[in-house]
Amino acid sequence: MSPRTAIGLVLAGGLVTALLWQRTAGFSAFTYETWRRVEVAREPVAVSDWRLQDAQGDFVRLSDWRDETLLVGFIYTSCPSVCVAIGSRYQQLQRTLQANPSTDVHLLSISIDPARDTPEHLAEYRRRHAGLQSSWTVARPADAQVLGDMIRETGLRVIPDQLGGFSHSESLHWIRDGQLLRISDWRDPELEKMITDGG
Amino acid sequence: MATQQADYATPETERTPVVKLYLAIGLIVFAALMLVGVLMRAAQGASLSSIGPALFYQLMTLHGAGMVGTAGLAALAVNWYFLSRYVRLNPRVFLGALILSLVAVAMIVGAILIGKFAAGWTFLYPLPANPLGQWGTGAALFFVAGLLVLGVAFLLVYLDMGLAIVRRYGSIARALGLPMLFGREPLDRTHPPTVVASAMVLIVNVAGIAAGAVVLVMTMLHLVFPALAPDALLMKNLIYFFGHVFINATIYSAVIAVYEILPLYARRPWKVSRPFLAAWLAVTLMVLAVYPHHLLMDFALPAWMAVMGQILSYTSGIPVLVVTAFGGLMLIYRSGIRWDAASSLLVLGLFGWAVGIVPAVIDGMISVNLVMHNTQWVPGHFHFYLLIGVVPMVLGFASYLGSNGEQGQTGRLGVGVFAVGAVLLCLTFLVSGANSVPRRFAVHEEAWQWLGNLGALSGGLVLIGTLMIALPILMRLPRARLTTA
Amino acid sequence: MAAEPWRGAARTILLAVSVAGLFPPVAALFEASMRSHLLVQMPLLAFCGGYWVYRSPPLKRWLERVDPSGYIALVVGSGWFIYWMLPISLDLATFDPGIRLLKIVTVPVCVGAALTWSWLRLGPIGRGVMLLEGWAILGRLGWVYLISPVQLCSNYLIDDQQRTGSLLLGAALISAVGIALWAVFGPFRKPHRTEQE
Repeated sequence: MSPRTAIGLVLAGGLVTALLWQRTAGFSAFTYETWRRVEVAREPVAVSDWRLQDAQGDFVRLSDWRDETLLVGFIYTSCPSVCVAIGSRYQQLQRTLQANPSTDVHLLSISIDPARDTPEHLAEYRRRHAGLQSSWTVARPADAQVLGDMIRETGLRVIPDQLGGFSHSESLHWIRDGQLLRISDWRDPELEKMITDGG
Repeated sequence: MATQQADYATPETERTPVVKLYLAIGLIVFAALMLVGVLMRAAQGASLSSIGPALFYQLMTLHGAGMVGTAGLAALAVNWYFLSRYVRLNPRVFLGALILSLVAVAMIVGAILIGKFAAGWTFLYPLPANPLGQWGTGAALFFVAGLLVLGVAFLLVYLDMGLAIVRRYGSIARALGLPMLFGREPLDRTHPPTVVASAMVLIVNVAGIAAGAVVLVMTMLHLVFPALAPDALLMKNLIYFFGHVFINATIYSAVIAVYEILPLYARRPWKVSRPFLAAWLAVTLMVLAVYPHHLLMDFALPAWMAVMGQILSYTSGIPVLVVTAFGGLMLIYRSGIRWDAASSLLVLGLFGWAVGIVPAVIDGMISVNLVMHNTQWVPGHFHFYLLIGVVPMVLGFASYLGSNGEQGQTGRLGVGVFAVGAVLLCLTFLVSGANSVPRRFAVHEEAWQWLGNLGALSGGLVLIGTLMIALPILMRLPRARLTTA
Repeated sequence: MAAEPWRGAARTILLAVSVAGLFPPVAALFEASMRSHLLVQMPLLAFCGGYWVYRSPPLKRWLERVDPSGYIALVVGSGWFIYWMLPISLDLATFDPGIRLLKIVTVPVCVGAALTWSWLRLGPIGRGVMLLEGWAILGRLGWVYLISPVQLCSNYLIDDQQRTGSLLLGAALISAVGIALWAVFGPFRKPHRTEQE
């Protein structure tokens, strides 16, 4: 092997490793969902002031929770699988909130199916999971524009699942003062601790 | 024919240096790992209390992985050395494979001694990922990656061999003698048995390595992403396909030494015949399909696979053994053979292979296996094949090459000590097994301890015998002129 | 080169298909399912690169100068091959136009052409290792897709992923039989024919 080939090999190997390192955020993220988490943890993302309609039919904005940290999960009420599980998880988290009234975390579930998820459906979803209005808001985007903004700004992926529903990101999003600060797995056992720590 | 042979054969000067390296490393590592084996038996006999269970399982993994790898390398050296008489092999590839193997050995030994990996050489999924604090994921990864590198090393040599065989004989099938066997071509009685055996080993080992390439990487993926959990039975099938084929092929490589060296003693050529070719074809297929006998206890295994494993276990050893043992005896009979270290070792190897069939067949019965599989009967069975079959063949090969078999009184005595020790060692295992002494137990009941101590003692004899044969060879090897013709 | 018009036509069609993968309607067609994306478009793009190396003497001359051993091409090709095996890359290529462009450029050039060049340069032993490794990748990737408990690509449903896995395993099985027959009974030419060394 000539020295030139050897140098070329080392260079090529280095470049290829750097490429893979960059794409996988240091060999830690191999899927889009984990990559999104790593990216947000590295640098928070600004989100606009989404206009939502809650289960009472009232219109609200993210900025209405000015001094609170929002834990945002995306769901749709006719979802038979993961949204039910996320609902149960919120139910558990709500208990933590009640036990620690001083924390400033607020739970927010936003529907990605605004056409079908009327305020009645949203209220029914929260009832199903024994949700309390005081600490858990279930809402839908006010219009298609907001839905689009939400998806674009958070990097959420939503695709039809061929059963009339959606396959969508299952992660939970920590938002405070118009900044997406962190993305967590809903199964993460550390969520309670993060809540008592104030998000 | 003569000119053709000269055209194809590897030049003499290229053949010997790398083979010497293989042999020297092989003999030293064999002896070192025998010592590890003795320590394990002594620990089971409770006469070495300093070896606790944690260390015991590390030693067991080291002894297993090391012996399998070394047997593979030594048998490969036998195969390569004799095949290179007929086809033109590339010594640089052979050397590269040795270097790669040493890298693999460093990884494996490091994983065991530094990383404390102790899941056995079969790295049986999902054990490597469930160490209960004994070893880290990194150690398991290193061990498995080491096996992968070892597989690549062997693959390189087999590809080179395959290529050279195709160049001379047209195809692997022709080297195996299929056209002659099925009457497409007239029987060429000068077709070398070495080439037939090499073709068989090549086919099964490349298939085994291919399975290994999949299962080893899946094991690594599982170690890194525990949620990615492959089907355990399928993994086990692939692991045993890979592992069984690899270790089984060592005896079919090592037996080439018998085919090549015994005729020189007997001064009669070893000629191929139709039954000989048929036996080797049969064993090619059987070695690929016999591995389910490792899974007879897995109730979820489809019944037909268990039945196939049992039937093939009965039959797989027999065809080649019969033609080889019979051919060997025919060769020796009234030939006025000279009994020295090399010839006695080679015949001892044949004996070990032949008698080793008996414990193997017993263990291959489903009803027996259900009771005996986790007893020391199984180590008894495979030590019979490997310690009284493969090792003497390799030692005989080394003795013939290194000292032309003339090792004098010490050599003959060494063979005797080795034979007595090896048979005794296997008997302690078999007797233990028949008395339901479990295998892979670090600590033994008091009632079993005498067997462990006897095993350690006979293992010591094996080690002494090996050193008596190997040390003079090792001293002479650097200067030895290796010739066989 | 232009002596055979069909060859020119074939090249044009291949190029057209690759470039068309950039435009939304065709892109949507290729990227509609994981199967068509991974098992149709990717191999097609890689084939374009390989074909280019085969048919272009100037490119061959350049490669001959830059990488006579083919080792560098092998490293580059393997690296990009791994890159495009990552679920995240496949995912991003479906909705990030920049990554889609990267795919249309690098899969033919850095995977197809590079691996073809290294295949041409490597000796038979190197080719054997490449062949076995390529086959093993089919098996491993297919197996992973089949058993992964999570949806690896946000844009492809898990049943699509599993079907892709089955197809990969099927391809592995068929090619195993093919390669085995060829290796044992092949290479199907007369013995003693002069070999090009």
